[in-house]
Amino acid sequence: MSLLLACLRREWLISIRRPSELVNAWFFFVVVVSLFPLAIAPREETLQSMASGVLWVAALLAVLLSIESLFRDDEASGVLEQLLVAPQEMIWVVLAKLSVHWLLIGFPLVLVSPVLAYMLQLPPEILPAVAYSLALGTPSLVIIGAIGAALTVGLQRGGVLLALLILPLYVPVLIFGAGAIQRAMAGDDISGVLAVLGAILALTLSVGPWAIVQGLKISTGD
Amino acid sequence: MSKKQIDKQPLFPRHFLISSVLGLLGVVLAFYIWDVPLANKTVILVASYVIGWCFYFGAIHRPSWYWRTLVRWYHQLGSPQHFYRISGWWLPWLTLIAVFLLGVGVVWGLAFSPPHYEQGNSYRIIYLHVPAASGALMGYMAMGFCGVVALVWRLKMAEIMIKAIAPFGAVLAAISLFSGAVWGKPTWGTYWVWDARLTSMLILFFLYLGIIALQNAIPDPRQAGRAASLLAIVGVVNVFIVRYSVEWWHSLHQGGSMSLFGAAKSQIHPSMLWPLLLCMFGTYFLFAVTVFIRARTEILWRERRSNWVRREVENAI
Amino acid sequence: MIEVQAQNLFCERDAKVLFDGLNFCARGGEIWQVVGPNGAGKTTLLRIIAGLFQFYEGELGWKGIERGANSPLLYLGHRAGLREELTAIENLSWLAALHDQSQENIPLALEAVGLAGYDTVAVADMSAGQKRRVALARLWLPGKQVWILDEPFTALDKDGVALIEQRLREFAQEGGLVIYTSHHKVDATSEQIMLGTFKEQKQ
Repeated sequence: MSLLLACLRREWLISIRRPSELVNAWFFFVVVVSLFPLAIAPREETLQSMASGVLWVAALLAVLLSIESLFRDDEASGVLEQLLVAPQEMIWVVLAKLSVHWLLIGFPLVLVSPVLAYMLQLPPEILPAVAYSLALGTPSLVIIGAIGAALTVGLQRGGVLLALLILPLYVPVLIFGAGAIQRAMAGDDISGVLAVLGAILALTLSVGPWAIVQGLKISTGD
Repeated sequence: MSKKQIDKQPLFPRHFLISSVLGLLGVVLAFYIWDVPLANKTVILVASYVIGWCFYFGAIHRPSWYWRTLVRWYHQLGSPQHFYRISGWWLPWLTLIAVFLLGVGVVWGLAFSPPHYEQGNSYRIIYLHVPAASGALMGYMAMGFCGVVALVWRLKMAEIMIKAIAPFGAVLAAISLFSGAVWGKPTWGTYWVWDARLTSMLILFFLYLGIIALQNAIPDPRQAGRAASLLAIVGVVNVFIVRYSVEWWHSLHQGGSMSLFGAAKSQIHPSMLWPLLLCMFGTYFLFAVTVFIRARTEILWRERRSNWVRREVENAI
Repeated sequence: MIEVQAQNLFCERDAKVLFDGLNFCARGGEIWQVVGPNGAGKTTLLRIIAGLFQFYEGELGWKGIERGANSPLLYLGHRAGLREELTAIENLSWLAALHDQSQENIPLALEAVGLAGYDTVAVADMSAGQKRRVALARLWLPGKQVWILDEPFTALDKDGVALIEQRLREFAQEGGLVIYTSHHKVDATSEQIMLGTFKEQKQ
């Protein structure tokens, strides 16, 4: 337990001492979403019909871009080797990394998403649904992305490869996440869809960290 | 085992009888609850009960035989040299079967089976589309299975198999996407619809590409094999989830129109079903042939320093 | 008594055989130097001994220690294992937590390598030699019985080299086992594993 706390503290310190990466991810999300109304005619009904997809694809890409650096610097500085020789279970370290990463990348996206949704002309009563769907979906995105990041850590040109590996795995989360917003706009009850998003989160949370640990072991030569 | 030892315990011990009754109850329960066509569930349930019963019976009276067989398989499957020898014997026969099945199936399907009452002759692309799609799916499942074996038991052969399966699986997925689009135009009036089957096949294609790309990106072959194993496992889980999540959307596509067990109940006419089945099994065998050839070349490359490969090459020259 | 025994180790990387039929038996109280030209597989051998690299053939057996629960193994790689964003103390205290070592000895260890007073300096702002010293400060944290050091003397000045040499000899006298790679011989009595004498077989 003290190890988990130590890891959480460490990840927190590392992340906030290098704020540019965090700001880049937030900024990316905001910029991509605000480009769409400029690219498409900013009519209310067009924007409304696109909004769920735009928000979710932008959030997905923001997480994908940020996830590449999750293990990169640890690998480059040799910390990953120290993790693997350590007698402690690696899973705590991985969990700490994932939680801090979500808190600093995923959670801000959730916070800012209602504002962007409003800019995309979504009616105010839909905005909570947007935030709920992203709040339940982005942790899954972080965990699934981390599996790919673990497998490609230490490879040159890992970025494009990471996108190729991970984007197909993001499809279910994307479907249900954007689906929740669409159902809310149709006036339906979204608790069922949110429950499915929660189920996906439970699945990724229970299997994902194990897969990440395996991936890290494989890419360092185990 | 000698006769004396068998006599020591009764032919049907009590726990065996109790389990048999419980199993029977389970089968009956499943029979009422499970919602699939009658023929399917009869065949599946009865067969699994009989097989399970025989297995249990054997496990009581010849436990060591199972274990020995399992250990032998483990060693033989794990050894590239053994696989190379066995596959060398099988390869010509598999090729023959594949050519025969595909030849008969394709000629029958394209030339002799009757035209569809609505779609005319355009439906005949089914003889290409369905075998390719099911081959691609089976290939990915096989990769997932090999992935589990490779990660848990660290068998070199499983890693080699994944590398051998991926390219042909990707080709089959591409064929099924292309033929599906060509078939979709006259049937639905569009080349592409976003329904569960097409979408999951597209995702399957991307997953195949991902595995091939990952394998090419990692220089060390063992490491590449293990990374691909993990990705294959994650991908199998993903394929299922994608399939059901897209089905949650409304679907334009027709439902499954063929089943292996319930031919009497299936909606496709036998005169079309038989050539289709021939084509499907022919594709599986063709898949096996390509996988064997690719696996054999990979084995020769990886074991190029060993004596047996040197002998093998000298004999060939 | 700790003992690590290698029998018939074979390893190949990037289609090149690094070593074949490598045997050695290292015991507590000894200092082993792995020597060989660049690319001979020194680092790979250390990684194999540390359990970081599994793609080898042959037997590697440990006696006298249990790998796992409270691993008495210290591995210092070529890369120091320090995050640039953190200070020396933050880095070391996290590594100590990871290795079930007590936090109390960290200031003493930093003092021993001559880095007292660098509490608030991020590792990024240190020189290469100072970074190496931070990593090597872990040699002063108790609880380890085997040290596996990959090029520990790089970037160190003369005093630093002498300091580390002294520490290695002390550790061996206490019954610890040191396996390191370097072109620098710590002790006239230290044992050697020669790599790079094995030529690639080509048909």
